[in-house]
Amino acid sequence: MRDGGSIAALHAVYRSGAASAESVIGERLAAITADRTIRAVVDLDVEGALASARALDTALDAGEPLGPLHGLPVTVKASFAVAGATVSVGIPDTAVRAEVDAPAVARLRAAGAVILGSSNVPPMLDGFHSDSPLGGRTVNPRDPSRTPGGSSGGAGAAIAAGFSDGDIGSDLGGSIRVPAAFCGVVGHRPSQFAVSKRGHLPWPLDALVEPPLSAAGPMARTVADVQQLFEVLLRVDPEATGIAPVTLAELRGLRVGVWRDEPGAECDPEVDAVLDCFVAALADAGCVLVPLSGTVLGRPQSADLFDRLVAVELAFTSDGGASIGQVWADWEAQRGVRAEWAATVADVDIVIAPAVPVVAPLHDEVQADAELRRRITRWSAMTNLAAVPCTVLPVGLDPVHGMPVAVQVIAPFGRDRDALVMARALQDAGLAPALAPGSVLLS
Amino acid sequence: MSYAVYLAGPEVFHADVEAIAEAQRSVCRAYGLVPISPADKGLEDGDQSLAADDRIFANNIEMIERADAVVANIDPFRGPDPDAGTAFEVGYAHGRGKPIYAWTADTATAAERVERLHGPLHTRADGALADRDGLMVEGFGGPVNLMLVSPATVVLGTFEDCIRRVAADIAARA
Repeated sequence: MRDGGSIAALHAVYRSGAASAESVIGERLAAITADRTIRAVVDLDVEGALASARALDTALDAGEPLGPLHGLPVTVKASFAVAGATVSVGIPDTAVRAEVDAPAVARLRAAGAVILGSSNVPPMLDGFHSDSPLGGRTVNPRDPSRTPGGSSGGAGAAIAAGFSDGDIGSDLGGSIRVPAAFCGVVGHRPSQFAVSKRGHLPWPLDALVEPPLSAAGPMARTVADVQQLFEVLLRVDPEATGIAPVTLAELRGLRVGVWRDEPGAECDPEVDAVLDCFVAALADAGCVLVPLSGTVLGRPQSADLFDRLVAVELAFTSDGGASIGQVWADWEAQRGVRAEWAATVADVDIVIAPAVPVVAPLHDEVQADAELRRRITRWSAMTNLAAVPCTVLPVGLDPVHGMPVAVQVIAPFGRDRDALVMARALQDAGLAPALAPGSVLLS
Repeated sequence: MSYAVYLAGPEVFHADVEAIAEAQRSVCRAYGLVPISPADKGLEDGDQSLAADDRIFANNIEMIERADAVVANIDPFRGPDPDAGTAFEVGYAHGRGKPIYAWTADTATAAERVERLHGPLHTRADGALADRDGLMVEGFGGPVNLMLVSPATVVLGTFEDCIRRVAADIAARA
C-alpha cells in the first residue's frame, strides 16, 4: 500500500527540517485570514495555534517522537467543544466559551494536531448547507455559487480549499457524508459509539449520555489521512465499540455489493454517468460485482422509523411527543432492521452505494426545496438506520457541472477498518481520484 | 469502456512540462478518461536506432494511434496561430477517424488574433480583409484557421472545460 496523504508528506517535511510546524501553521492561518470568499472558518485561534505549533517544534528539536498527527493543521466543527474557543450551532444565542475539550477533540490535540479554529455549520446543524447567523455563508471551493453542504459544511470547504488538513464532523442524516461528497473530500461515519460524541452541541456539553443515532467521525482530503485520524479518534474508554482488525487484502476477487437501486433514491443522470464509469472500473480491477436492491433499508416503513428515531435523538430535553413505549418499540425495530441488513450483505465483502444522488446544489436551491433535501439525505439516512460504518470518497467529477460525485463504502457494524481499507485501495489504484487542495478549475 | 485522449499542445515546450502534464492527467482521470500525454514518453522510449527527432515523431504517432480522441490546445503559440506540431497531430488524427476536441482560453477570432499578434489589418482593393503583407485574413469567425475548426469540437474555455465536454459527449452516447 502506498504511503499517501498529507500527514505522511507533512511529517517528511518536519523530520527533514525543511519547514517548522510554526511556519506551516502560520501559512494556513494567513490563508484563512486573507480569504473573503469561502468563509469556512468561523473562529480562528491565531495565538493558540501558533503557540501549539511552537511547542511541537520544541519537542521535535528535543528529540521527542512525533505524535501521529504532529503539526497537522485541523479545524473542528463549531458544535464540538474546544477549550477556550466559542462552541455554537451557528446562532449567537447558542454560543458559549468551552472550558474543556470534547473527548474527541482532546484525542486530536494529544496526538499533535494543531487546532486552527472552528468550521462553520447551519443553524442548529439543521440543513445541507452551511449558512449561519454566526458564521455567514460558506461556499463550495470548486464553485462559489454552490453550497458545500452541511451540517459539517465548513469542514468540507476548509479541507477542499486547503485551509485545514482534517476536521471532526458529526452525522445524523448525512452531515459528514453530504459535505464530503459535495466538496470532493473524504469522510468516515463510524460505527455507533466508536468515536465519542460527548461535548457536542446541541446536546448539553456536560451530558454523559450520548445520542444513540448520530455519530462523530473524521474528514480529510485523502483516505490515508482519514484512516490515521480515525485511529486517533477511536475511543478507549469502557463504552468503546469493538472495532475489528482489517480483513480485506486486495481489490481483485473482492465481492462488492453494488447497491444503487431503492425507491425514492434515484440519482441525477450526471451522477449516474460517473457511478457507471466507477462501477465499470471496479469490474476491470477484478472485483466480483453483486447487485443489491430492494433491501430492508429502502422500505417506506424504514424511512418512517428513521424519522421517529431522529425525533427521539433531538428530544433530549422534552418528551418529543412520543411515548416511552413507542421509543422502546422503535429501538427494537431498528435492531430488527440492522439484523436483516446484516443478513442481506452476509455474502459480500463490502458494499458500494451512492453518497448523494445530486451534485452540490446552488445556494438558493438547497434551502428552498424540501423535496431536494429529502433526496440529499436519502442514501445517508438508509445507512444510518443500519448503524454501519461508511467511508465517503470522491470518485470523479460530473460531466455537466464539473462537481464532485462520491460513493459510500459500507462495511458491517464494527468493521470500520474494512470500509477504510477498501476506500484506500480505490484511491491507491486510481479508481477514485483525490482532488487537489484548492479544488479550483485548471486553466 | 475506458476512453483514452491524446493531449496535443505546446505544453511540452514549458520548463515545468511534467507538472503541467500531471495536472492535466489528473483532470482527465477525475472525469473518467485515460490520459495519453506527449510527456508520457521521453527520448529513452521508442526505437533507439532512430534519430532523436524521428524518435519523438514516431512516439507521438504511436500515442495518437492508441487514443480514442485527440484534445488539442489551440491557444496562440509564438504568434497568432496554434503550435504547428499540434496542428499536424489534429490533421493526422482526423485522417485516422478520431474525434478532435480543440480548446482555447483565448476567445478572439482568427482575424482578431492576427491583428493582435501579427499587426494591423486593412481592407484590400478587392474588398478582402488583409494583414500588413496584403495577405487575406479569413473571416469565418472561428478562433483559428478553418482547417482546424471544421473537423473539431471547439471549446472556448479551459482545459478542464474541454475535458468535461468530452466526458459529457461520452455520457450522452451511453
